[in-house]
Amino acid sequence: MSAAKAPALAEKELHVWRASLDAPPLVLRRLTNTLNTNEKERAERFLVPQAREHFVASRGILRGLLATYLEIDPVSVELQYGPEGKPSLSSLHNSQIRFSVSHSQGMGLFAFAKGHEVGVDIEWIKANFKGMEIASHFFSSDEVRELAKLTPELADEAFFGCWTRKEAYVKARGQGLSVPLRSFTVNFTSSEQRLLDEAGEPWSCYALEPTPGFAGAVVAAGENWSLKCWEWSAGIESLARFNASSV
Amino acid sequence: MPITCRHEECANSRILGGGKNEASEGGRRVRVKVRSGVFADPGTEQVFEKVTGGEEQQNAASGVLRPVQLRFVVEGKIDAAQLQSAWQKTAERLSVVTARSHPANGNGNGKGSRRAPWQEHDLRGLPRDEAHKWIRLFLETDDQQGISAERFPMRCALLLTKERECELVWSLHPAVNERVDVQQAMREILAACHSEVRLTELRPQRVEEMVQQAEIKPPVEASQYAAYPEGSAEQELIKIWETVLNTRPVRINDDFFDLGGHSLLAARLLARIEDSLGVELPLASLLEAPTVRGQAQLVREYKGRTNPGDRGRNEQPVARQLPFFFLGGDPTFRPLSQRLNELREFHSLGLQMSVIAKLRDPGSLECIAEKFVQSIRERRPDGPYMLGGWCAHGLLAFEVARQLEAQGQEVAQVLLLETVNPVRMKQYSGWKRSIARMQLKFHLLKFEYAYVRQLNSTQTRNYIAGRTMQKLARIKQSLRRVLKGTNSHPELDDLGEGNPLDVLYAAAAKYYPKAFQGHIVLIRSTQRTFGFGHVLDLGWSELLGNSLEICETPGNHYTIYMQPNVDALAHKMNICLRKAEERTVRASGKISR
Repeated sequence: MSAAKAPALAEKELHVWRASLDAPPLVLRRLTNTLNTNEKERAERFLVPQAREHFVASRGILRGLLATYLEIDPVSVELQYGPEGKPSLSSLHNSQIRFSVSHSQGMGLFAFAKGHEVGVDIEWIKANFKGMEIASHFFSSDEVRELAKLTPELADEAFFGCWTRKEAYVKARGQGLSVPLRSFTVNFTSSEQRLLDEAGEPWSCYALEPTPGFAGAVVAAGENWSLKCWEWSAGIESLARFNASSV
Repeated sequence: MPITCRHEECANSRILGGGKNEASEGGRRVRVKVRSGVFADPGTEQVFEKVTGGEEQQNAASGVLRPVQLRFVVEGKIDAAQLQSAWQKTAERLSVVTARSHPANGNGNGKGSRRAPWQEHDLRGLPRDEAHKWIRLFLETDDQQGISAERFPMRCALLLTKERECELVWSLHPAVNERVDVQQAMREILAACHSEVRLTELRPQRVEEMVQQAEIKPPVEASQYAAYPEGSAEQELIKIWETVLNTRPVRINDDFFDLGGHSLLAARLLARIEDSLGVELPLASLLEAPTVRGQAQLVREYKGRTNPGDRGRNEQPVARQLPFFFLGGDPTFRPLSQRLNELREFHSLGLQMSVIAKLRDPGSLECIAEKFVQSIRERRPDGPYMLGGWCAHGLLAFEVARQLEAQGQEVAQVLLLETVNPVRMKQYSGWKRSIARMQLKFHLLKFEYAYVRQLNSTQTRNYIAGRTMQKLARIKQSLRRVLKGTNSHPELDDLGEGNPLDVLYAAAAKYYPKAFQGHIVLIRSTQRTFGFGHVLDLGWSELLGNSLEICETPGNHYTIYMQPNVDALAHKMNICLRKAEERTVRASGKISR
């Protein structure tokens, strides 16, 4: 991996990295070499070549980014998995860094925070996706009603805004698909909002606009985060920022 | 086979009953008959019908589209240059993505030259097996080189193998929602190749077979769905998985997430499963059972739980079955009535001219509704009530529900099927409404055509006679209106001959819906008309606020009542009604505690 310096992850800083996962073969090979045996086996299980490549790229980039934060070699990064399959840094590292990864259509987002759980989600805004089919099955009635107020074109896009916010929250909670999406409501028009969990604890949700045609959101436990977004490109972690939100 | 061609001209010509399309292809006129085949050789036509027809039926029966790959070895006089232009034109017109290769044309495009929708790839110089491998990729992979299943659901590859022989391989992508008239498209493509093609060898063949024949190890196994009995959960699930994941084949032990599945696809998968199999699995179930095998087991367990015979074993409070009153007694609703009848107690109430004649003010929906309230309470003196109706009948159901509530009765559920809030619709401009009306007429025509086709000859005669009488009555009335001058209730001039629907629609147009607190589900068709018809909530959100839920069902304003859409509709209605029943149980439970 390149030895480019990652910006230090200060307290109350929420870092989101954007990366294209359609890496050239050379980069892909380099990334593959950073994976451990389990991950390589998992990559082999993917039956769709593109899905395999995206998995390899996202896992390789994650290892690279974690390695730079931890200032170690990507190969030495040890991960462990929660009950719902959420990966986290192994306790061996004795680090407070929490992270979350999401990718869609070859675009990946990687979120990092110190000491607080994070969740990130990105979705490619697919035209004519008919999100209402999913919304009416899985969203809360308030959300469905809000979506229904929009014209079909706007509703399509708003669906993805809504979905990524919900997904990011569920991922931050670490419960994956087991949290009924219907059980909470997000406001999909505001770019920043506070969500309260069952215990009344606040979670911050930020809408992201990773790149045109994609919707994204990041959620972190607690409040008053300073959100910073970076671009990862082919091994050189350039510090070019991308817009967190169009607002 | 009901009409399914996406091209309006085709649809029209078929409605009119087997017209002819004449397409000018490369300066040569190619005659494409619409109803009968294009093949000069009747034997070829017969085999073609048999093979493609069989596949079509299989698709229609399952309701899920599968890639259909057929191999044709075509023999005939083939002029490469002519073929090229004819092939391209037809392909463009039909939105078919094509690939081809032929040894005759020396001036080919370079490898990888990309142009959509016409994709050219020079396969010359490639060994036959390599070319087949390439074609397989082309036919089966989505989102490659700008080809998406949504834009180009049909793909076709043509290989000129010898001077007079070519192979045509095609696939209909599984991600296609609407059905494409593949037979028709194939005919046109073959006709474009040459007007006198004779199919010397014709058999359905999976591309896997081709690859195997070329002695290449296939990269993946063939779909396994055929290994399970027709209608089994495994078979249905494999089909749904392949559609949602857009990958093929899916094997029974493949992990959803290994196939590239993610949460959004999981949501879509479970929504589809609910629609096709009637089982509502939670999202998390996919973590416990990420394979078709595990999921089929879950589906059987859930089905057992909701099976009325097994209800006793379920520890959850058992909801009382409430009857459902469906307003609208038209015979076109019969498929829906039959299905709902299988699922629950069901009454269908229609409006008759003899009833209208006795009404105080037939021009007011409130007044018509009073009559319905009366006959509903005759059948069921006390609530909770569940009722619904389609289009203007939905408004009637809404008003009936209001009146029932005003009489102190509980209304558990109102289902509005494609019902417009008339007040909000009037705010739309006249021209938008006219366009929508024209679209509706077209939808209606398609529906009637499909409807009449499935009737027997006596029923067809009766139907056509009935429709003619209706039209005549309408013409007579309008003539009378012209002669007499304006009249506030023209449709009531001659109640003996009038159509009760006209009375209802006239009353509905003047109806002003008032606030209502009960639960309302608006059921929308997925194929909507322009203008107000395109607005998802049809203008109800503002008035109904929290009590409104919206759900979508496949088809247009009319075809939601036709096979195969009607299954989904009946199923969705039943789910809404079941939820309402559970709500009433919970509510009464709270009161008693």
